[in-house]
Amino acid sequence: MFETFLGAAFHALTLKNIAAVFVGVIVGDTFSVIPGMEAVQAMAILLPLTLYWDPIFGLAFMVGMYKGGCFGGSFDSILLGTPSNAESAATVLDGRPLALKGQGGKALRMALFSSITGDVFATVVLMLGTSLIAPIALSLGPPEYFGVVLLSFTTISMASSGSSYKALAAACLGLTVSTIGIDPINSVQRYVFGIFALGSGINTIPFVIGLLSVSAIFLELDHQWGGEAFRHETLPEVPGGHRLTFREFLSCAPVLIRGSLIGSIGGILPGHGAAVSAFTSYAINRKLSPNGKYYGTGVLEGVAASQSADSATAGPSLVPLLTLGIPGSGTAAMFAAALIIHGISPGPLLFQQHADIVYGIYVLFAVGVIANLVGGYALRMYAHKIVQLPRQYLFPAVLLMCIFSVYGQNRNALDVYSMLAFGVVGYVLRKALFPLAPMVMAFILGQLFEVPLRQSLLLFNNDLRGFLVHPIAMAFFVAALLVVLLTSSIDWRGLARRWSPSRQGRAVHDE
Amino acid sequence: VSRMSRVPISVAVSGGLAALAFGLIVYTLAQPWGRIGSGDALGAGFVPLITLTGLLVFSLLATREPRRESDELLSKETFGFRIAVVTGLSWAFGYSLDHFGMVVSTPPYLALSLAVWGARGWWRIALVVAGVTLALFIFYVRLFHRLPE
Repeated sequence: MFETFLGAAFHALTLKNIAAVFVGVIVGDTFSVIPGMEAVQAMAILLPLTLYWDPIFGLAFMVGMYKGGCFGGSFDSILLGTPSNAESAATVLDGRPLALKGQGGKALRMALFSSITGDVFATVVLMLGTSLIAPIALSLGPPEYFGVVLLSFTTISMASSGSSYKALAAACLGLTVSTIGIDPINSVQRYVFGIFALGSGINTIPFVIGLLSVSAIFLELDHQWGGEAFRHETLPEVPGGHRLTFREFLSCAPVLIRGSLIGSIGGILPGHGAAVSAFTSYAINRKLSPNGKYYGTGVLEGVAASQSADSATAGPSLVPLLTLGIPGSGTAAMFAAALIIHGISPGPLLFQQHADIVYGIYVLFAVGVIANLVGGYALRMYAHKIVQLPRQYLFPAVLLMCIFSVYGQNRNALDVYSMLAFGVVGYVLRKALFPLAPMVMAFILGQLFEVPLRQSLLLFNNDLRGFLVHPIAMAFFVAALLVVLLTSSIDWRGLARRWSPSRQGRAVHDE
Repeated sequence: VSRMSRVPISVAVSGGLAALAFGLIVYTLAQPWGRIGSGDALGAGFVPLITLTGLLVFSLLATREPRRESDELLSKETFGFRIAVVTGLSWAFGYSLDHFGMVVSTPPYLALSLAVWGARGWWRIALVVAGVTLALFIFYVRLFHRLPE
């Protein structure tokens, strides 16, 4: 194993791959600074390019973008007070008040060092987590594997912000879209409606770019004309307000460790995500810290609590992907797509068939820590300029990049049409407050859901009771049910009242 | 106030999804591969029927949820005219990429897009069009050979 690791490290640590990580960090940082954009959208837009690269080189670029995106979002939170993504929303709570006090530079430095601390934890947890879970994953049969996938679906859906019903509906919609094309067991065409292009199913890249990136651009266009256009405000300048002393950083050490641990654990859980981890860390640190009562007024600990947890989820969120083949977050789904387009199936067999890739990812994550530090420092020099770029020039250019990325994959206009169609669908769903992450993840997980289920049923002669004699699978089903019952925003009593016959005639939507 | 303008967008969209799911369930059951009760009952239609039933149930439940503050009401302005224009332009651009290539298609598309987005001043638009086209030409055509010139 050690020889394999050394060989993979030697293969991964080329100048070309290291440069790809650094460029990726800069791209991820830059994209997440643009209000309304996230690193996951940058990854989606640039994913088709990696198709023609050496897998490790492509993954190096993706690792860089992922890491850069974790820190880049804090710029908007601190300088504008409007987070560009949910992950950096918790950083607003103390980052913005610090900026208003003239200590924006200090807050940014704290965010950067917190991000690096979280990143170190994330890399260690990625290595340990995958090494521990991979041997267990190998012993899972189709029934157990279906149990794991079902549990992942429920956690991904229930952990989404907003309505649980909408998240579950979005996941079901994503799964339904994944069934378009040829059935994986019987090779029958489904939902093709005589359209030749649908015969091989929905192409992942137009689907992901349309749903995540194009829909966000459309929503931005909507806001632009809804009078919500960005206005830059001048922040006060305080002498010495931008310097962060070593003592100030050290005083946040307990917060950084707690935040990193919370983020690492949260990252491993599918669907838990960086946003939930960041807010959980903020809340827990607020309770445990002697300065807790000052949180929200502009304290460095607040920035450290949220930012360390946000970055600490980056590596662990790949653990379920690399060991079980389950992408636990939107960005992990991009990694899954990057592996799949190279013919590498993430999952239990990855360690046996492509150990060099897994160890290469470990090494690239470690390189990413340094790249994140350097990239973060570089970004501080030009981030305020990106923040001030007029959106009416920025977004048409980003849309153009989306079109080129999709078109360049097969040089086929049909892919562009399909991307635009999913962009409109995503925009409508966003307007209706449907979370899109469960839909994207369900689409990518579609085959993982269907194949083990149908294989299990073949084993059981189409008798669902066959699952009962598989205790591990049953344990996952029970866990999935508990996740739905315990974590959902579903008001079970209210639901029973609303659907009772006596209330059928009444309007239930209070206005 | 018309009846339409009192319906929240989320209710309209959830209702639409439920109708779509119902329609697809009927369609699936009508197909030889999706019929329940045949020898292929747990065949190709099995998983789509599960996911569509889930979509139907959860969409219906979503229509019954109390309205949130951020949930706008449905109106004529809900789904913007400009989004339709940008989509149409991009559609035409995809078509022209196939027929005329990147260099010819990009400048008019980008100039029109910028105008729709609200960019003003012909010289500024011309500058942005030239800069962005050149940058993307180097990136996608010269560097990565992903687009026809």
